[in-house]
Amino acid sequence: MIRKMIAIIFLSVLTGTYLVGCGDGQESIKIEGSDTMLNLTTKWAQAFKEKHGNIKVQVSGGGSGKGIKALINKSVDFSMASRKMKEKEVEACKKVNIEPVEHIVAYDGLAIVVHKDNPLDEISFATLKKIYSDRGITNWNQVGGPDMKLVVFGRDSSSGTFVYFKEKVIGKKETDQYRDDMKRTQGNAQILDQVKTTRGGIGYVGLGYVEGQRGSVKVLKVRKKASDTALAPEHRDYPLCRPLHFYTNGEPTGNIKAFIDFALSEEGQKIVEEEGFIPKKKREG
Amino acid sequence: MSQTANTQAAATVEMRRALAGRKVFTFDQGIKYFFLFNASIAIVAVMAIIAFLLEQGLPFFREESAASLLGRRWVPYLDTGALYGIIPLAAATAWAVVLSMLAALPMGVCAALYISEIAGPKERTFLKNFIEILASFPSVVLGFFALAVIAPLVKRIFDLPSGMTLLTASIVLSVMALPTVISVSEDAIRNVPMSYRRASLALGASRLATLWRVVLPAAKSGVIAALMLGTGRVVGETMAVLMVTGGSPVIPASPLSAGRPMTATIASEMGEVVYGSTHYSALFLIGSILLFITLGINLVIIRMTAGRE
Repeated sequence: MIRKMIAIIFLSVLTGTYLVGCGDGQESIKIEGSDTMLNLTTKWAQAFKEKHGNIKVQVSGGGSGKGIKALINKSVDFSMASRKMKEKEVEACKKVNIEPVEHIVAYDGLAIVVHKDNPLDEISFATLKKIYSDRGITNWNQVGGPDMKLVVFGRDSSSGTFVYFKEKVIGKKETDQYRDDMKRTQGNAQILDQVKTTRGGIGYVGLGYVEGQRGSVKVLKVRKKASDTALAPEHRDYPLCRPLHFYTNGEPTGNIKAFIDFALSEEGQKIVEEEGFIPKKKREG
Repeated sequence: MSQTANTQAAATVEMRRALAGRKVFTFDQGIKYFFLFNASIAIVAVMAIIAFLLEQGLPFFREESAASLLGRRWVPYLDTGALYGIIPLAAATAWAVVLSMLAALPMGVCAALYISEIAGPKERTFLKNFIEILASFPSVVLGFFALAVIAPLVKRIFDLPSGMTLLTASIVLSVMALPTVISVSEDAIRNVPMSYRRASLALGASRLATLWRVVLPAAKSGVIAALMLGTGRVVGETMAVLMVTGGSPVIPASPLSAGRPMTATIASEMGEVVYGSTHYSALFLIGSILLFITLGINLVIIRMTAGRE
């Protein structure tokens, strides 16, 4: 009796292991990458699914670097990135026979946010660089602001925004680095939360995240050179505007092509605008 | 009484011998090996994980020297000129351990003394149930709590510009370590023979003196084990520290500074790192160091408890 029972348990464990391996056979697209693009791509996926009911679209965030890594590991169909691929990553792709193809699907203004009580209205690239790279700057009065302790928020290094902001504002040289004591948060939403509650806080977030938060934080106008006029993120020539990419393995075909075409279609680009990003046509003219 | 126990034991031994002596490979033996296999999984897993971590981590030294590992700056994201000094990361972990154990050890030992020596049976079960519930909280939930409640509190009390500090993390960590510290030291206290307490009371010592001067010193090695196990818990905790320490790779000068503990570094960077790169092996090396710390702690405890028996 006991023997039989053990044999049954044994067998069922074995068969159980095999059964787990079987999929459900439904067509699906898996996308991973930029946290900034997560909301947008999820909206696209929802609208896409309404049209093509039988295709399941899974979207997950985690950062541009994470998505590119997933593309290299072949665990996703394509990745979203708020920055261009690094050379190292392109090399890593080639090693495993992946040919990354870049698709610009929208543009994003990177908004500079401060606490709503901060009297500043605009900021220059030079000041931003000082604030984000120089540990000696600890008070707003060192950069022409009020006497208030400065707290610098940024993203963590897996974020495309982290890399984009560094290269654009701090610089591309080896010596151009973020200050070590920048608070590194786990996403756009967390930066907003922190800046909202920290009087001397400053942070950068994707424009899409600022929509609906305008009362609780202040979005600064940005000027590139001292002689420029400072521009709001909505402006066509806003200096902190970057392309948002999809990276596919080779030219897309089938469902993946259908999805990207949908994102670039008029309907898809309308969603871009609704989500607070900048449609491709509007920026490229 | 002991006669029957002896014969019973002898019978069991004989039975085992008879089972082991059978030459034919039977179904029973197959099952025996099946169970043996399952029992050995832990050993295989430990060995395989150590080997894997080292295999992935050691290539770091092909590109970089040990001196660069002991550097004072962690800037791994640069394409050229990246810096892999783990001193800031190790320092943040050390702060977290010291601060959280400073709180958890005295609280835990006092709680254990109360539960095992003073509380009545009903009270004891009640308290122990709650401690078990505390132990079962997922650390993300505690991290959330820390971010939403403790961080603003720390910010207000110390008048800081931001509440994301090592102190905030240490407060949550001490709460997480508390169940371990309590249950291990409670075991130790309970194992102190009754005769010690009776002798002490008979000599006219008060109950407090008995607890403090006799029972607690007798349970010393167990309390040290509690400290070590609590430390192991704190060293390895990831989610909560990732959420509240601020993630800045500075060498923290005080508990009110932000920091980037070793676990948090691995968790937030492993996702993006290019497979096989120097940065990748550096993260595995940090993982190996963490593993050896906890392994060392466990070895010390095993030796200590072996000595007691």
